[in-house]
Amino acid sequence: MKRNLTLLKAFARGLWLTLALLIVNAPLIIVLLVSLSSSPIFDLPREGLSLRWYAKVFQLDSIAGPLLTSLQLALSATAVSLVLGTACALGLSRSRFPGRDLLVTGVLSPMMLPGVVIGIALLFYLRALGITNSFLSLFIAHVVITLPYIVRITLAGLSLFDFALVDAARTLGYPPVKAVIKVLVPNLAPSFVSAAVFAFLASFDNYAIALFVGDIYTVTLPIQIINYLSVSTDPVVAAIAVILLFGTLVSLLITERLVGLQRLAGG
Amino acid sequence: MTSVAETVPGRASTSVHERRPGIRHRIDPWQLLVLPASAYLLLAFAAPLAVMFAESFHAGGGLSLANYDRVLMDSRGLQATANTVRYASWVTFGCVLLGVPTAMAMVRASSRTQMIVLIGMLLPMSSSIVVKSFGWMILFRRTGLINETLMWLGVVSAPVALLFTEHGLIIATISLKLPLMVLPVFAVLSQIPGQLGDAATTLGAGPVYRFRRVTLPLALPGIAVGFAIVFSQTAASYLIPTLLAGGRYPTLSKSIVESYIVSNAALGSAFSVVLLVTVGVVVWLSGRLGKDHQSAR
Amino acid sequence: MLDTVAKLQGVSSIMQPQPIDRAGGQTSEAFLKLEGITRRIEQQTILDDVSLSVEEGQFISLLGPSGCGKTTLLRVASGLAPCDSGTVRLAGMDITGVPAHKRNMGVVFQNYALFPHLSVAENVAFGLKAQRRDRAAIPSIVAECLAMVQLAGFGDRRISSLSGGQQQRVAVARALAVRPKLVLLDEPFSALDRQLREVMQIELRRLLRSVNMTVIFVTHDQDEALVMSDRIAVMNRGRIEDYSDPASIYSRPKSLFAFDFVGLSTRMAARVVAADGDMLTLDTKYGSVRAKGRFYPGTSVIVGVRPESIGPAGDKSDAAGEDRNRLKLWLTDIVFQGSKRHLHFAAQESDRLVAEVNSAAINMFEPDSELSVSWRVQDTLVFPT
Ligand SMILES: Nc1ncnc2c1ncn2[C@@H]1O[C@H](COP(=O)(O)OP(=O)(O)OP(=O)(O)O)[C@@H](O)[C@H]1O
Ligand SMILES: [Mg+2]
Repeated sequence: MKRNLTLLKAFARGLWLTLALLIVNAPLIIVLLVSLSSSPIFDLPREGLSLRWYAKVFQLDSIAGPLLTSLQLALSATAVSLVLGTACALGLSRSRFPGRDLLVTGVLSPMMLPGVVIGIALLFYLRALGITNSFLSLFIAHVVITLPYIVRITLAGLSLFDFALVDAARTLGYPPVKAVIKVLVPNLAPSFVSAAVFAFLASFDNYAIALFVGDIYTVTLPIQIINYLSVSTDPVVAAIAVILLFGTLVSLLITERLVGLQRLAGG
Repeated sequence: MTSVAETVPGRASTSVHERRPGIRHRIDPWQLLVLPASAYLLLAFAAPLAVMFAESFHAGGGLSLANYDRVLMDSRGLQATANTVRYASWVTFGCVLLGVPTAMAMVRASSRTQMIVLIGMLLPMSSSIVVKSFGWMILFRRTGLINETLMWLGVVSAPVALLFTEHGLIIATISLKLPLMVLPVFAVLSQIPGQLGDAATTLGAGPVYRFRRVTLPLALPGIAVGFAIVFSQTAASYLIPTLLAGGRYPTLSKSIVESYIVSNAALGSAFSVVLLVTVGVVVWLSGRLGKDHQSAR
Repeated sequence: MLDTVAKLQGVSSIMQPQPIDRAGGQTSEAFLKLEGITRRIEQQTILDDVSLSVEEGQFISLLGPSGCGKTTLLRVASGLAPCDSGTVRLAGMDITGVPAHKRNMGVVFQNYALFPHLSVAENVAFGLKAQRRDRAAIPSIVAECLAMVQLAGFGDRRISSLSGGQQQRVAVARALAVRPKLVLLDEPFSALDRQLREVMQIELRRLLRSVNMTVIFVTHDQDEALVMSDRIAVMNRGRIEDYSDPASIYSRPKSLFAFDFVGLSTRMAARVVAADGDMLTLDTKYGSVRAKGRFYPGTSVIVGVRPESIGPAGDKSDAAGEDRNRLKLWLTDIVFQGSKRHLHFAAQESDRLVAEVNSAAINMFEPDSELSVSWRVQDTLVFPT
């Protein structure tokens, strides 16, 4: 009797979790199915499966350019944020000064603020400063939005780091800066990897900034997909989406191997 | 090998400079590390926002509240504000309602199940919002999977309108933001020792009482975090309402973009400030909620 | 350079004592000399004019309660922390401004601070690489150091796979591998259980002795300090209150704090009623006692006696002809202490009355009865309040 009840509970729990996963993943599943359809309009694959849309993606020259722009943007913004953000997290975790908590809130706030607001504010500001190069403008904005991810994840990693290790390296013969690099970098590598992955994804997916700051010559991939959606109805977009999804899955799996996802949920 | 005897003579003279008796406020070198990032954000984030804030009071060549008048008094502006708050509130409510039980089920599940569900939550969370919105567009069409299923089941006889409706938008957004609620709640719940619930049971607490008095209070800091993130991201989202609700459903972020398109920067700034304040208040309130409960523990 | 010489001679590179350059001509000066070290953090004085001299090859303990500044003093000595005033001299040289990485002092940290991302051997080799020692010689030095701490064959293990005692020995090996001028150990045994701690105490001391290492050893465990050290510095609130060999620290402590901190002992509030030369007559709540010391009549003092000095009146140590104090006390408790027992007597206010007797003699005593005790006048210590 009691056993049945436990089983029933476990079953109900499993059902609920399956349902939740289904709700959350429904759009991804649909996109995957559509991308495999042979029909020339968005539809479920009723008449059979085909990979023709994937083949078409690689013939589309309107994708390669934006993809390259997005990759360049995400990589450069992540790299710069990694340097600025790691230094900032180190400073925050090692010193106590008045206004420190306020600074933490300030540094993390771009994550909470609406992307369109950051985009529009930067647009006017950069224009007033005479910066018209749109890749540079995008880069400046993307560093703003990726920086908080780096600071937050690195700060969490640092809270578990024993700074006596740096002292040990100093007494053993490394000058202060070198001691920090020698000890901190290998020990915090997992944090750096997950911070970089999340910052990269945040930049790569961002559309709100590019909506304002980009121009017709500097189109990022999300913007190009939105544009494509408004002019075309063939499932090529679905195929692109699935390819992106695959990229995300791969980076998540890499992070999982290096860090463990449990830590990401909490971080 | 460097012996002290070798290094000292060269160094002895510098020792005077390196320790300055009497200087009270030695600057901690660690402290300097926050400077580059702070300076960057000050210049590329705080300054633009400040300029925008100033711009929002700019109308007809002078200072005025005319833009705010248009945002908060004009019927379309008012509607945008009301829509945004209502939309974000429903989505947040839905996410709490679905997310908390999901997180609870997750902590009780085996570690393998936990891992699967975690990946299943993280994958959609970190995949492109454009892709996900696009998926919901397909699902919601008159001939989409949802309508077909409903008709096949005989629940409805004709296709129901889901795309370009508010309830459709809310349903889709709940699905898109649910992981943002589940993950922080799961994070706090998984830190609670499992015996706590058992302890309550041995003390004669029923499941309802246990949920209200043990699980819920302990989960509250996580719920507060999820609440803040879901609300702020929903209120700020531009793409989801644009793709799923269309032009006849004004929201604050859409109004911001529209004002920009018609080159009314000042109005767009006023809309931005209203959006920032709305989000700021909710985030602050949920922060208070989480903190109060933490200190009460 | 020295490594190669040592290898050519077939002598252990560790065992080779360091040549000390005394070109300064101050051969009489102590090996390590801290003078007037003061350190303040945010208006709070953590170290207050601390001076300490350590002879070469000596094993010194810094003993004191938690928060008294022991770690801070080590950090100043090793160059990890600056001081507001005072000088650090090593082998006759002022090294106050020399940064930590050029001092070549081996430090064993409170929680070992072993590098978790490196193997045992890589940890030991870390300092050798940092100081750019001859690369070819590193493996043999590492092997030698690991053998020295009885961890031969553990080189490839990960730090996390070691027990607490093994980690502690890796930390010692890492500190010794660079052949430091002196070794600073910050409570190296605090994470070990009692049994292992006692084994390690003897092992570590023998090891450091065998390489003739100068050692400063921090602990808040008085027994540990008494067992291991040539000299003990008792620290309290940022000051050194007493600095002497273990026997003197125990039997002739210079301050009430040192007396109290080292061992549970009898202490009674008293008043000087008469002073005849250096012979004092003191009034306690339990009767009159005599002691040697220089105080004015009327002064309030604390009288202290080590528990093993006190015995029941009339037993064989209570020989005639010796000048003894005698008191009648009310026995309340007998506490088992292994081969000894502690007799606790009824005491007033903040006084404490304890005597130590052999377990063999225990049948003579019965709780809740009056007992006459006696001790030598010369074992009676008097401290100002
Ligand atoms: N960086 C710091 N900032 C503020 N106070 C400090 C700092 N470092 C040490 N202190 C204070 O200095 C005092 C002495 O600290 P220290 O670590 O030297 O004590 P300790 O004798 O080693 O104690 P323990 O036995 O607990 O290790 C303490 O009161 C401590 O709070
Ligand atoms: Mg300490």
